[in-house]
Amino acid sequence: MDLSTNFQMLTAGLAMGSIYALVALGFVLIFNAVGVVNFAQGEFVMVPAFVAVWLMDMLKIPFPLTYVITVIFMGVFGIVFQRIAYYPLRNRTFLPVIIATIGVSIFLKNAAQMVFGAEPFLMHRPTPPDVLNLAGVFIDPQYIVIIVCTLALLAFQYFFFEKTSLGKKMQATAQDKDMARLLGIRVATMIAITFAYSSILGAAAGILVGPIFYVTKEMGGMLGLKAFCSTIIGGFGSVPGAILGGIFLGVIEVFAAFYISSGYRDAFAFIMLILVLLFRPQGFFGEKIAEKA
Amino acid sequence: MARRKRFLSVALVALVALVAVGSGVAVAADPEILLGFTPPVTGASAAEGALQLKAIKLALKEINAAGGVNGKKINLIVVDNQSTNPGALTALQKAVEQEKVLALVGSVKSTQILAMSDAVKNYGVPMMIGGTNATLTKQGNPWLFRVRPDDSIAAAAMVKYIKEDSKLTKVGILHDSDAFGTGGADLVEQGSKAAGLTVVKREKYTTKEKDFTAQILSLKNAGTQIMVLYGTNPEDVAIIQRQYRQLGSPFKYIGSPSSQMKDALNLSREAANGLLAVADFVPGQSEANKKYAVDYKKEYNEEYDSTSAWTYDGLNILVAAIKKGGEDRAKIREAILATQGYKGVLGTFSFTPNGDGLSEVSVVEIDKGMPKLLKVVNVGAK
Repeated sequence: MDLSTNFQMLTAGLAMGSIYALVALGFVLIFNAVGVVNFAQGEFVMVPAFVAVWLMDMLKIPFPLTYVITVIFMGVFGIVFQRIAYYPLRNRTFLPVIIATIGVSIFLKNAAQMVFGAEPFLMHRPTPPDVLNLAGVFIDPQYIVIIVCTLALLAFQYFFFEKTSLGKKMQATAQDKDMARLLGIRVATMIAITFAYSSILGAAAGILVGPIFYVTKEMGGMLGLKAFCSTIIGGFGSVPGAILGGIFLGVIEVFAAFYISSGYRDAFAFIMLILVLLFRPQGFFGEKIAEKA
Repeated sequence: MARRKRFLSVALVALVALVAVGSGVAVAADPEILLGFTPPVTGASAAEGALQLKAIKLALKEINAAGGVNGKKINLIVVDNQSTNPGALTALQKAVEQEKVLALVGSVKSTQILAMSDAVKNYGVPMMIGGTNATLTKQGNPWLFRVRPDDSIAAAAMVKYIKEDSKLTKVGILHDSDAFGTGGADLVEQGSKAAGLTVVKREKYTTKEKDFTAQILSLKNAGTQIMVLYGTNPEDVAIIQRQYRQLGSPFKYIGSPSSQMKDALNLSREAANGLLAVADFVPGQSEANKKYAVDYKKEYNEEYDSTSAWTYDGLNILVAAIKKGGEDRAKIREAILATQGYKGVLGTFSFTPNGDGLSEVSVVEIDKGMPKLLKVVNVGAK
């Protein structure tokens, strides 16, 4: 098969994969911090997309400022979410919290429909040319933006968690809450910050995919599910696993759709999931020990 | 004890009263005719549902402003079908059994109509439908009346246009993998072969997919000259139109009616310019149509959406039949089938014994976000 076709598909796959990776990271960070899966993670992408469209279209706020406001909004949103869906239930088992996140997810979707209506919105893109033509290879510049922004975010995250005191405190909290508390780390604050950061990752994903996906209340649903798959394929709870799992899934999907069958594109994600669960249940990067603290 | 008994009896009376009001028994004040409508108010097709409601409410307003039917106002009971097949069936049951509607306007989705079909037949209730799967009216259910051209007509018209006007021979098909897309794609494939065209490749996608790079490139590599897109959801179609442009418009494009829906064009914007599509009709192609455009604009201060206008014609044809046949379901059925040459928004309706109202479609080109008529293609009644 010719090179340009494969290159075009690789770009599309990497871009979709980057988005899966961002959402998957949100899953993993919250899971590591509080031990529950946040089923409203997909809505963490939908909400900022609507906020950004609203700021841009209704209030005519320029692009950079829109992005800043959206990110700040989502930071606050993450803390409020944590306060409502996690904090009151923190001393119960994981189940009530999971149900609470599902509840918030349903609430957010319906709230979005009430406020913005059922018609999808177009999010304008900051990159003016609609298409890049590299000697016969046509690429959506937004795909490049997605890949670059994701890489930048990951670099920032590495620096943040490994080199700053706050990041190390958050890591300590995720590893062992009791020990962290004994060392004088404010565990509740660290957890709130984790939720805020996870929500900000959603904001990045929402802003990045908005111009491609269009903005609807359902936009987070399948994204959340694929991202969840990514975390399991990569190894549940593993940060590099979530990133590589997401990118792997995005690329596999495009190539499988092209070379095998386009009708079963979504099925390939779940086939990969089943294969991983059968042959390497701990995922690519998971630890073989059944339960780590 | 006595107090408790009295409380119980009061509660019982209240309950009976509530049930009576809820089921419509107690409503005797104004004589009115109850008709049902089961659009998607929530769920994946909520966007279309909102537009369908606008169209049908305009018809309702006009009918009642003109005095209703034989002195009775029409009361339209709207029941949400939740964009799902079970939801459509439940909505039908609720409309007929609880709300006691005389007849109804159903759904635009063929799968939902199939889900409702048996119940419609058992109730013996006339239902106007917008689903375009050709087989719907050919399954021995005498109570379904289609007020849109079916897929075999849209598909036949596309093939006819590709052969006679575009003069291209290598056809690639891209379709949604749901019943609508698959049914339409099957008809295009059969029609193309019968017309001597080659179908070089057939690709599909799942509703709500976001990246179509693989499908478009696969069609391109197979040597497609013109792609027939049989899409269902306007959001999907809008993404396809944009990505088709981004991949360098590698072949010509002709789409099913979803390709010229307002919801799709609002999203794809300039990417849709110059694309071809078939449409049930084109704005301004008839007097009834021009009047609808003016009335719609006056009512909602926006342009109407062409794929939801069937609810407007559907309710009007249904009400005209009730005027003629009275409040008797069998007579209403006869009156609908006897409708010939009715000038509606979508075109000139002449019902076949199967219950198909229309057999013409228009081929359009998208021009600055609006469908522009190229040609009306009539493929004749079957």
